[in-house]
Amino acid sequence: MVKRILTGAGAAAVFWGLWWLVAAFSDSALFPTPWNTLEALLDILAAPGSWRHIGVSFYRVMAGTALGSAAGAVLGISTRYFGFARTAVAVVIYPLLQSVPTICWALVFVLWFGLSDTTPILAVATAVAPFFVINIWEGLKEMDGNLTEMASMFTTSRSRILTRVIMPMLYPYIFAATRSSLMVAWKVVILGEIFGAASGMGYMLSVAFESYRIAQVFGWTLAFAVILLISDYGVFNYIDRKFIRKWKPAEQKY
Amino acid sequence: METGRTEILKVSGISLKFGELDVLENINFSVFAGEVVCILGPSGCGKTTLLRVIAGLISRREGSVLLNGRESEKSNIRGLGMVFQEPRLLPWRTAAGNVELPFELAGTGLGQAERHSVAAALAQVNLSDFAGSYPHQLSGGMRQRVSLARTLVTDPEVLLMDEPLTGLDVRTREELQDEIIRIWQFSQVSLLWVTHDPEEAVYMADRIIVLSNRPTRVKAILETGLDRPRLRNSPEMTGMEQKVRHLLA
Repeated sequence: MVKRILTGAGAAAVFWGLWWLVAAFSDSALFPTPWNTLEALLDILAAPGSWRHIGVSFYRVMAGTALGSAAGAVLGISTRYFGFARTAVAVVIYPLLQSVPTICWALVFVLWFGLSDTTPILAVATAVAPFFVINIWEGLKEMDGNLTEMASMFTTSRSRILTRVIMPMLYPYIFAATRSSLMVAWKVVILGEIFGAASGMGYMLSVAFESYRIAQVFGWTLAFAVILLISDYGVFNYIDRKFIRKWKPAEQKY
Repeated sequence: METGRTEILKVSGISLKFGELDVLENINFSVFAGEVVCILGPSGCGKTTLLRVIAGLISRREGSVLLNGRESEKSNIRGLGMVFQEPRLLPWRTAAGNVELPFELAGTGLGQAERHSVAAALAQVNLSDFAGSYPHQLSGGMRQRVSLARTLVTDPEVLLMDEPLTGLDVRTREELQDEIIRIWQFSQVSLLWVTHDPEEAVYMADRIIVLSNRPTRVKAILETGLDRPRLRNSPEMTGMEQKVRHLLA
């Protein structure tokens, strides 16, 4: 544990040092030093208005992920029960979501909904939905048919088999999808906000960019990276260790 | 234990084809109340398929399966319980949680009475001390006991057993055979037990249904006529086993 912390701190120090060296040698207003960036970050965090923008982005990430995951989950699960859903997802929906760049969706949403919450939320939802479709699909394919057959000896209710047997088997897949989704959602929300919203971290980033406040741009970027790291390494690793590992024996069959 | 006279399960004229392949051909037999019947046949002869037809897990077939004179339907309200070759436990639930599953699936909820039944079923299979253990913490034999308890909790009239002891070591297998006989003697349940092992069939059964291979037909039905408790490797047992092996060959 101590060794891991030391290694981590060492790596961070090396990164910091390299950044500082490059900034010092380029000696340009366009390449702020780590200290300038940190200062900008602290300024950002000290300004009460910033927290409103962070909160707005957070809300959009959550709302978009919720929407996208719900849609993706419904689509994914429906492939188990309806042949036409299977075809629709395989031939149309999944390729469409997967192949159209998120930025194209975002542009279309700006045209339709203007500068509003709707644009980044929908952009996030379309980016996130395929993760759920594909993970749940995969989970259903890998699913232990023996268990559902066993359950069918006790009931004819498909909904109870779904909630008691099938859904729990999918939890690890849904967790994996949520994890990848949130990473992507944060990136998409910034993108969406840069040209599709009048608030949020992406908007602040674009304001700083347009006024050539490079340290501010770096500062917001750093803030964004910190949020992602806390979310993924902190929150998700914790949930994984605490709850999901218990499900892991699901990979063996009894 | 004396075999009852009531015909509880009647299998008549069961035939099944997979495409052009005749899997089962005109299978007829009955199981009487409180009886242990073993279905014995060579590997790959369709014993398991026959049991799955009876359990209602395969529906495209000719003939009829009557439980207490009524056509058996899907879902265990009909009084059929199945123990599979693998325990098929939900790995994220404890032993007790797995035994509770039938109540949850049936939608009856988990009241005082149901919890009591769960505890009783676990006690029947000697797993009271392991109610809180997860499947991966249990041995193979224990897992199969949990699976047995999960079926017992629904209070079935006929227990269908699909080679439930295959894959366990000899000692565990013999232990479980004795335990299942003990459970059977205390309850009113009839056992329909599929096995490929003549020794197991002779040790467990009141009657043995010997199946032929390709196409699968009933070759012979014999009464073992042995008293319980039975002694493994006694002259009567080995004699009977010889007879059964001869029929199988």
